[in-house]
Amino acid sequence: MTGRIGMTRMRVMMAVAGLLLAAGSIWAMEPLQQKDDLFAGADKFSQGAKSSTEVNLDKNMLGLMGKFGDEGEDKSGSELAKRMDFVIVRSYEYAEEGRYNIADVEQFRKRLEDGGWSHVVKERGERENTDVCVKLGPNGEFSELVVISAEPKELTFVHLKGHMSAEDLMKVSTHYGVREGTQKAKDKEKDKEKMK
Amino acid sequence: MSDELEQELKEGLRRVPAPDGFADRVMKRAARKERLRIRVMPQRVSYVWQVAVAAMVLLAVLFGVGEIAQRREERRKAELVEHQFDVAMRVTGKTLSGVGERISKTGTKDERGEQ
Amino acid sequence: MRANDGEFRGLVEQHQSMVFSIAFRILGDRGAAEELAQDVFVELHRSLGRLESEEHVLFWLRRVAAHRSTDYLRRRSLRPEFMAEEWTEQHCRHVDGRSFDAVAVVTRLEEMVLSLPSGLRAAIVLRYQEEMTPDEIARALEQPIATVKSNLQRGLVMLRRKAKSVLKEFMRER
Repeated sequence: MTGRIGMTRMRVMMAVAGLLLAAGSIWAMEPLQQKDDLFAGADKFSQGAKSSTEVNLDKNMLGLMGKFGDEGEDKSGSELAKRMDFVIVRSYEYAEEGRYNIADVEQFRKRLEDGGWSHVVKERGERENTDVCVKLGPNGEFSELVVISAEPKELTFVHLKGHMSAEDLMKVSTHYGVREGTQKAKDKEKDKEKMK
Repeated sequence: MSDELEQELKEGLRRVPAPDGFADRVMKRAARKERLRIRVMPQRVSYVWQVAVAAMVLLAVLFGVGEIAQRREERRKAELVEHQFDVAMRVTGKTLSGVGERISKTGTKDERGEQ
Repeated sequence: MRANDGEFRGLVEQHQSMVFSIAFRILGDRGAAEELAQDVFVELHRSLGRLESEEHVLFWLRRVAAHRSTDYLRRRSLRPEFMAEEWTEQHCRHVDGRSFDAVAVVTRLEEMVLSLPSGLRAAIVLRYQEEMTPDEIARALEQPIATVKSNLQRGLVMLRRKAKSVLKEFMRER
């Protein structure tokens, strides 16, 4: 009798331990990063950079967006995120000019020559070089967007894949771009005040 | 001698009858045991059920705690993702708006030049 | 094997003498033997579902009766010599259909068996009361056959030695 109960207890404990282990391993599992062949090797530009920003979000992680969002928040970002397959951004800021080799950037630009990319912008200036390429989906929407922007003290790689309308990109450009611009302007003003 | 002794043993150790009423007493005891067994059975069954219910409650509590921990972990990840997405969009937006600005400036210069 | 109350009673009546006699000859105490024999049958009632045939029941009863009896002796550390005196008196009342002399001889013989160590006694009882072969005894007592044969031999040697003196004494008494 006691033996049987002991066995039952042992089985229950083993089952609990097994379930906990299984659950623990699921919780402990970190999502894998999205592999990106297009910008593979771009992390070398982080050497000598004053600051680096690297974002790599796959579809699973993007699915978490807005899941716990409070009501009343601007949900346009999370709506766009849900339509994305992945978001990869690498941005490096340098303290002075000439900290990276522009010829190294060229090899990444060359990768855009194949694979059905449409060049929307190909800017070649004295100080700024920018490439904006897109791929279109069957319904005319943007299915992929790549931006390579090389400025003397700043280098940016963007690779977005998903379902994006022109309006979405406009919003990204104005809403986020303007916010970024405004923030930078505010920071500059603060710096000026501090200087005073 | 050995054969003789063995023969005597066979003779001498013949079965003896059981005491009178032996079978009746056995039957009574067997019936009493059976009743006891039937009475004890539900207790054993209920004990098994108690263990099972306790195990279920324990599992439910553990999974409840696990669920809370998992939701907290998911919320943490969601916040991180939101922040990273925001950063990614800011970088993208800034780059696109910068290009846009430069293109529009160039366009304006060109228009002026044409005029 | 399944049995209703009537069938089980039939089994008890069929085997009660055998089980009681095994217990009685090993323990030498009538009350203890009856209690033990009842225990054996109550256990049979519970275990009947596991037994396959009447032969199986017979084997099972012999085995359990012998085991329970030797276990009982071991637990109580009963001394056969001490028990023998009491036993003689009890036994005389229950050996029916035999002359007083025959009863007296049997009684002396049984006293001799009771004076054997319990391990030898169980083998002797199963061999000469139940007329089991050494192989059957080995299976019933769960002992190697060599042990059983050795116990039977040793038992007989001891009994023979006792018989010489006891039976001489008996003849003198007459």
